Amino acid sequence: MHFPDKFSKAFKACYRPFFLLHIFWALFSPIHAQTPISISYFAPYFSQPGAKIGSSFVLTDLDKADIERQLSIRPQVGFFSQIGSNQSYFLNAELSLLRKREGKKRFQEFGLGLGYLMDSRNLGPVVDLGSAAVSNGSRENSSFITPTLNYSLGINPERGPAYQFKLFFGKKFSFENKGELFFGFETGIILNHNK
Amino acid sequence: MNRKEFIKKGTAMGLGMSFLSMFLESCAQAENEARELVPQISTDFTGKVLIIGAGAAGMSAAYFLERNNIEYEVLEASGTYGGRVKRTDDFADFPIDLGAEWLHTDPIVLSEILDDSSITDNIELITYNPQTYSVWNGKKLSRQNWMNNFYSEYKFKSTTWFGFFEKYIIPHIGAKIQYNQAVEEINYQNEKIQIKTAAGQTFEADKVLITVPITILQQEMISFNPPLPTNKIDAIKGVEMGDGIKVFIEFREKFYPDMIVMGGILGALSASERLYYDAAFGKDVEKHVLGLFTVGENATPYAQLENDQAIIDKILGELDEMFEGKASETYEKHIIQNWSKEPFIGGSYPQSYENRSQNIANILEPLDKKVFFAGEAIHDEWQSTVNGACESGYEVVKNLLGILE
Repeated sequence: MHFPDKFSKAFKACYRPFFLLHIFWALFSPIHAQTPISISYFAPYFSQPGAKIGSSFVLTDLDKADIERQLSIRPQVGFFSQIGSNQSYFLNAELSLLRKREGKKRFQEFGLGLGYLMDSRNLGPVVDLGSAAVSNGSRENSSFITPTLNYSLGINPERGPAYQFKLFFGKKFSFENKGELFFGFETGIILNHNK
Repeated sequence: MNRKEFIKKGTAMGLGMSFLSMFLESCAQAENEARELVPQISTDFTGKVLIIGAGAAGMSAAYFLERNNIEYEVLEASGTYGGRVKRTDDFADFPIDLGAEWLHTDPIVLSEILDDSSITDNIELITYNPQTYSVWNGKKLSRQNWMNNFYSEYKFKSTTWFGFFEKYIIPHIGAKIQYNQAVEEINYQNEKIQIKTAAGQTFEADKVLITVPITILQQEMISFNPPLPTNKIDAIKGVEMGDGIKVFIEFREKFYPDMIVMGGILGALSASERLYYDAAFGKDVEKHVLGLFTVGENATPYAQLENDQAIIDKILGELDEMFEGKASETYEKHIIQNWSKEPFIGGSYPQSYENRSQNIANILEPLDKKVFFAGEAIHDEWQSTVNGACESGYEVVKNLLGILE
């Protein structure tokens, strides 16, 4: 799926400051007094480090006996990179079902995700042989749709942020391919997780 | 470092780095400081150095001596320079590396090898990150494109490793290379070292630097007087230099992915590699050229066949099985570089060592401070690479001159 270069350039130009502002906002804004904010180390394929930040909005409570169950929608933005090769910009939304026994700190989540991924691939550097300067060459941008399945285990202590470890598995679809595996892990904190 | 180690280190590095440094790197290309590999040195040495072998290590050592105005001569057994760096210009619409092809490290190393700020050229590279992968397990070809997230290195876009040496090193040292001078005997018992070649010529030098492939020493194609110490012979024999072959085939259409990993997914992680790959990947060219690169025990079934026809028949048979006859149907021509049968080479690069560090130290140990050894096989960090060969040449020649100081 190739978008026009102008779109890709504009997307990338807007994305980076948006991403940094989002982190800043998550850490310092009082808004998460009401809304949980998650900040995660994110590594698709276990080899491409990056970060993801998101929020969570409860759709409905499905509590049953002594088990708390909550259905939420989670918009997220992320960035990850394969060193020297790819940079990926990620917009994602997850429909997530939280499950937790009453009075327990540990919780589980099952989620379905649907994301848009823009992958910017460095086609090759240029080496100035005299000065030893290595500059980026041209880039090629590709767009993908990424449905995922997610499973998280987390701890939500009485005080302080909750933290979780998540595994995800899905596919990366474009017009050119029939879908390739998309998998990895994510670990991070959730500020004001149901507190 | 072989490809396996490269992948392992790259993956570990990816997992270990913080996302922030990645983000910053994406905003501005990180600038590493170039090392000074060819410094101007002062030495009292007024004698002559004789370099045996005009491969990457030998050419680099010669370049160092040339830049420092030290008398030297290079004896090359074959009719051309390069060693395992070799090129064909007329097979396709782009030059093809028949030997070393990839750049396994930071591209800045190209500038470091030359270490010459007066050069005004730029070299364009390809980020070699094949996008489409298939895995052949012997019965079924399965698409495994997710593998493209685990492997990335560099290749030259419009030149080759051979072209790099041809353009930037050979103009400095070419006049000092004597071809078709296969060294048969090195006598280092007197003050002057005497070197005899198969062509019947005798050369004299104050120091000798041997940069031939380790197979040449293993096959005792060069005799030493006095003989090599036992620990050095054992160390040389302890290096397993596997078979190696590269084959390039032109097809009328591209029916293959960017890379085919042979032998299942774990085949990609084996030191004994066997890969089919799109040799035109990233090059902006018209021709469809598929390469076979295989080393070690996986190369033996190809490299030891009786002739080139048997090799190409075997390869087309394999590809036909994978692609339902498409290979034979669209075949145009091929070129085979059998490194195992290449005179004065006899293999690919080291696959394994017994007591690696100790063996390398034993091979590197000079004979009577007169006869020195260099080459990719005995570079501790960048073994099996061209930059490793160059760095080995530089390091050993510095050692050679340092001892003289």
